[in-house]
Amino acid sequence: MTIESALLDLGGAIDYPPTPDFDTPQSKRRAPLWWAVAAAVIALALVTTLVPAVRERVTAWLGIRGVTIERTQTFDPIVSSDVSLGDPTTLEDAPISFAPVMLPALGDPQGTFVDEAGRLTLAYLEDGHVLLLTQFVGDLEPAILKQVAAEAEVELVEVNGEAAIWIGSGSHVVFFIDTEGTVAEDRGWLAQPTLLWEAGDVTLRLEGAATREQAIAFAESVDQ
Amino acid sequence: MIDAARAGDEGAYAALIRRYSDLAFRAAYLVTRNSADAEDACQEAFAKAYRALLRFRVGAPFRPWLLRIVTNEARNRMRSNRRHENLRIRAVSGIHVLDADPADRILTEEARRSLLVAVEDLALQDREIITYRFFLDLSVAETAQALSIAEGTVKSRLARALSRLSEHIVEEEHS
Repeated sequence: MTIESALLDLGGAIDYPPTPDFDTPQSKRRAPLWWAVAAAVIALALVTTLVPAVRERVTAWLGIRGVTIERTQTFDPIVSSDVSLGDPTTLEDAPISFAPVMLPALGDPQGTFVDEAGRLTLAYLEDGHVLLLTQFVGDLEPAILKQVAAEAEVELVEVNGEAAIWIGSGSHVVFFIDTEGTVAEDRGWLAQPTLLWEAGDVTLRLEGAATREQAIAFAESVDQ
Repeated sequence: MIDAARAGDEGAYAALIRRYSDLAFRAAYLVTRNSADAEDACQEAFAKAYRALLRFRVGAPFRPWLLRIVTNEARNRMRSNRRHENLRIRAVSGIHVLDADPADRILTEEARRSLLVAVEDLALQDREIITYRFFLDLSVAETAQALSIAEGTVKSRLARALSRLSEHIVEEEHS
């Protein structure tokens, strides 16, 4: 008998503890309570989620890495049920490849999500409103597509002396682009006013601040 | 089935877990030597595997890919304070031997115990290789992927570990 077959024989005779019943990740995962609040807020927006009926590809390269902005003429309403922030996690356990940018002015995040493309989204409750801070390592591949209605306000602003973009009033839809480069059109949502900027290698988007000034103040409280 | 699980079919995913849970749990147990740690490692690994399914290359072998995630989770829990258990051998009850000479087919219980002691005495790296390759009956390629090392490394470590085990057995026979 060879040593290999002796080991195979031995392996077959090992008395392992009984295999436990494993839950599927869905049954185990429980969204934190605050998420119910956020879901309610975002659900309101989702009913009026829009897709562009006529897409006029006037893609503006405004210099924020990983972000593409398109002007569109009209939007058709669709209903989407998926905000697609990714899976709930914690800052310590988040499977991301970069050091997250924290904004002390926002306090501690109430929720942390990472999606399949490694984008980190921190959710905050500020005066009963949900603010979402999404960040990722911006490279040349677009990771976020913004479709902005013709009448929407898009402004070049400054955050810590660097160029930033403020998308204020008027319809704008955000789509996260997946790792294959595909825009999941049914997963976009009608975004609240949003500030886009960069901090080092990281591209950030802050959605939901009440005013442009407040958004910039949050962004400038950066602690890296 | 993997394609169905990728498409978000939770039933298919549950079936995938059922199919691989024995193997995954045993692998995690071989590393952690504690059933609670092994269970935690598997639960976390299944969740991570599920989230990573979108990145999983269609057609690539699923089993070693899952085992790699399980192994990493198990290694993360190796240094937990929980009690480390020794491997045990199932009580022999009614082995049906079809061959005329059973010694050619199976080891005696005593020989099994002696070999297990020798395996347990190996350095951690060698023990991982031996238990994954032979106790879990993985191919060299699967062992390499599960342990995140090159196939050549698996082969050289296996050769070294096997020669140590052989020495051990020879010593036993002569003692």
